Amino acid sequence: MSRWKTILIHGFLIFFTAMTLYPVLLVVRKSVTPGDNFERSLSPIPSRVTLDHYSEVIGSRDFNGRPLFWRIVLNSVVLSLATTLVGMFLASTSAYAFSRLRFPGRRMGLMMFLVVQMFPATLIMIPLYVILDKLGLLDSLVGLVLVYSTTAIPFCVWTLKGYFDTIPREIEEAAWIDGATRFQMFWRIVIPLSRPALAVTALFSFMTAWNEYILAETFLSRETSYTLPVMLQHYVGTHSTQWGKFAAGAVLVSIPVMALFYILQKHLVSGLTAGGVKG
Amino acid sequence: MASVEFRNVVKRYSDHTVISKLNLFIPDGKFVVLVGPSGCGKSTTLRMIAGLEDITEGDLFIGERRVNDVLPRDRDIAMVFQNYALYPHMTVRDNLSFGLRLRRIPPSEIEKRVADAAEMLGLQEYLDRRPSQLSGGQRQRVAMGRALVRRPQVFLFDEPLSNLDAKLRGEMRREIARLHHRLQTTMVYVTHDQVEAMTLADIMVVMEKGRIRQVGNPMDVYSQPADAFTAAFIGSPTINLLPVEVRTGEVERITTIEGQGFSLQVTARFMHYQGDGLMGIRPGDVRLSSDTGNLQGRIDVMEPLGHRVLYTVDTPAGSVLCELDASEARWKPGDAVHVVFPMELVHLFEADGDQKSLLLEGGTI
Repeated sequence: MSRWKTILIHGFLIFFTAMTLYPVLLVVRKSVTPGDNFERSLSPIPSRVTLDHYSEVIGSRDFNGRPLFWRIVLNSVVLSLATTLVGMFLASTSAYAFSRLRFPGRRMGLMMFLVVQMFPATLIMIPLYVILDKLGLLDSLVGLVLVYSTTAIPFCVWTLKGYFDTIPREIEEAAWIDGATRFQMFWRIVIPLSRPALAVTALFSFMTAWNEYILAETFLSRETSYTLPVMLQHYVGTHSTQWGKFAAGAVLVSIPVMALFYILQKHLVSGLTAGGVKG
Repeated sequence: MASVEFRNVVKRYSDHTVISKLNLFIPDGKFVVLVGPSGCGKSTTLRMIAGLEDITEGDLFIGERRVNDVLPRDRDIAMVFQNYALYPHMTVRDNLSFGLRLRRIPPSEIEKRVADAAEMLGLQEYLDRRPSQLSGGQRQRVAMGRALVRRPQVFLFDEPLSNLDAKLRGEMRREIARLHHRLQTTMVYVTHDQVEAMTLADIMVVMEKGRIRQVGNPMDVYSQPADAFTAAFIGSPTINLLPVEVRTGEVERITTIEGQGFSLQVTARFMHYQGDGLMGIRPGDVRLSSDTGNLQGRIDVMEPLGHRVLYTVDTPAGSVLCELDASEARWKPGDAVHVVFPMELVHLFEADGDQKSLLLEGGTI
């Protein structure tokens, strides 16, 4: 490759990396800059540095004087983990059925999953509200777990089915002859071989729950049952916005997700089935 | 150990018939090779024994037991797949022991069986490796070991050597032969490679388009093919098949074979028949001569194969392949030669339908 080509390609990459990172850097600058105005300056370097916004966010308390921030973090963590577990269980089992079994309604089911994906989430908000209300699950994390895990299922099923399809059938047939039941074939062969796809879908489910705002804002009314995105939004008022706390909160919220990406990235590498069958 | 029997077995996918009325008895302890071109139904037949394919009609027995509705895991069989189908996330040791662990065999017994199989197949040093760290030949050994530790009633092999290179294929072929000799367990082996079929089989089953063409000892199938298809499929280089006209008298049993540019008379070997036929003669049975023969021709191609030389001879009857000892091969491309068909080595088939052999019952070649 010629030197100019290298320079051009790298220039291109650096430009888009900067485009992606710049807004994030501005938020980080705001989170450590005193005051609540969002300065128009484009420099990502803060003029003065303070951690007051962070301590205010972390130290916030509810009406009864109990720590509010940690309560909300706990809500979000429990909600996201529960969504991931429930969603993964439902998605992996149904994806396996869609991939390996032939049954009436199989094509239809797969198509419906795609169709459902085409509606914006706000459209199903009102029916969901009515359903949760009748079930008495408004203002509860259980209700949200159900909503999130079911909305994440279509994407997870398609991703997992696509991956399961690439696992050679013969490996399962060998296990079947070796004495495995259908469930053992799934649990001891297919699941361990699908780590990359499972990591992707788990991450997706987790982030769906972690970042979702509209449904949470609609279904949750008590401050103590808020999730982190709802908490953030409440710093943005009608008349004044606490930009400092908002930015600090935003940075805090994204840390776990970044950590999760970092932990899962080695599982995101595909090619685990290498060696099982002739490549 | 057990026999395997197909009784009027039919396999259909919606309206497409893959296997039509299969009747086959595989005696206990025999090495049976199903051989045929791709799409002939040999793999489907094997997979029906394994229970991986349903049987549309008819009955399948393993031993005394009708197994049509028995799950693969309950059939007491083991299978070696073409693409090995190892468990990629497990070590060789775990691959070998997986089936035994599922069947709750005591750990001490598992250890012993794995050690035995590893020793028999030379896998001791690789027990803690993953399949991805093994070569093709080693993976195939693991696949065989996985079958071996189970000590099944029937071993099934689905083209196990077709992914290996030629040298390794020969080695593994001999290893499988040794294994059968040692275990004396029923083995059913599918291949499209006639060398594997010839060398391994006690009983060879030639299949085409979902039907059995011929069953028999490999040498018998080679020397007395039941039809033109079998004659052409078994044997390398391929048998010469020349269109001829046949007249066999009912009384004196003399067969006159008239081809393009040649004519032969054969005594008392073929059944009564008048009409179009195909004359078959193996390249190794054809002789060449500079001065006299059945058919005149000219050398088209000469292929030296080491101790043998393969000639393609252009004749009025078409191309004739002739395989000679290198010491007899004194012709060059372009030379005029006479082709000799030794009449005691000639095969004769009907030209139409299944192209059945016209050889008399008890007749020999």
